[in-house]
Amino acid sequence: MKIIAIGNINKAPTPEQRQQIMPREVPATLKLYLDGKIEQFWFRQDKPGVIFLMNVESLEQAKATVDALPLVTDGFATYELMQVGPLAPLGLLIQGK
Amino acid sequence: MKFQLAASLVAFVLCVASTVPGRAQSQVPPTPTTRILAIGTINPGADVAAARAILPAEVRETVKLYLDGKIDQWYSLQNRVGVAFILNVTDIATAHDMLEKLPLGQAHLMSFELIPLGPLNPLRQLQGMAPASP
Repeated sequence: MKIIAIGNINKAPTPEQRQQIMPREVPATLKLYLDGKIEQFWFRQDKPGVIFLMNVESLEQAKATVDALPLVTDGFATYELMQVGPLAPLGLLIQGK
Repeated sequence: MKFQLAASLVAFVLCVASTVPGRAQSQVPPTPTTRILAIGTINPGADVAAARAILPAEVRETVKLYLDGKIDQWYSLQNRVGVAFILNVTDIATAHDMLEKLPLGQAHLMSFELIPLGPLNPLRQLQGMAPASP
């Protein structure tokens, strides 16, 4: 199943905290991509944060996956998860309605 | 005007973000906006029957946007009525105008939240990205 995960920074880490966390956060994110759980990733341009398109077994698995990322475990980020699927209304085009 | 303000706010945020890189104290170059995530939901209190009546026209106009190359990816939300599009558009005002012109937008039945997206800038911080690495 596909999930759009919107990661928000709730509490900005200090430069010292960033130096401590980001060397763990970035490889952990890339590993999720290599594992196939993150299919696409983007950086938010309007405020600090990330957007992932995830490919997972369940909403619970998606939640457990992002909640294990260092910025979440250390209390700086939270993720909003939205399950998405095929654009169902396109079906109207073959029903001829 | 509002968007100019938003743009300068973005520039400010990027400036602030670039002063606190994780790896080094050098400037982190910004990444460009390459896509926009648009999350469309039915307005609170909207007439669902009216929305359903408009849906066939909405679908046709949405497909036209796709065929024009404006919609890169499209999904239905699964736990509420709505859609999520990844747009091949980089300007928020342009995306807003484009989506407002869709039939459900014209009828004030659907609104879009727009999030500008770019490449995952922190990938620069990976150890293997250091110039000295083989």
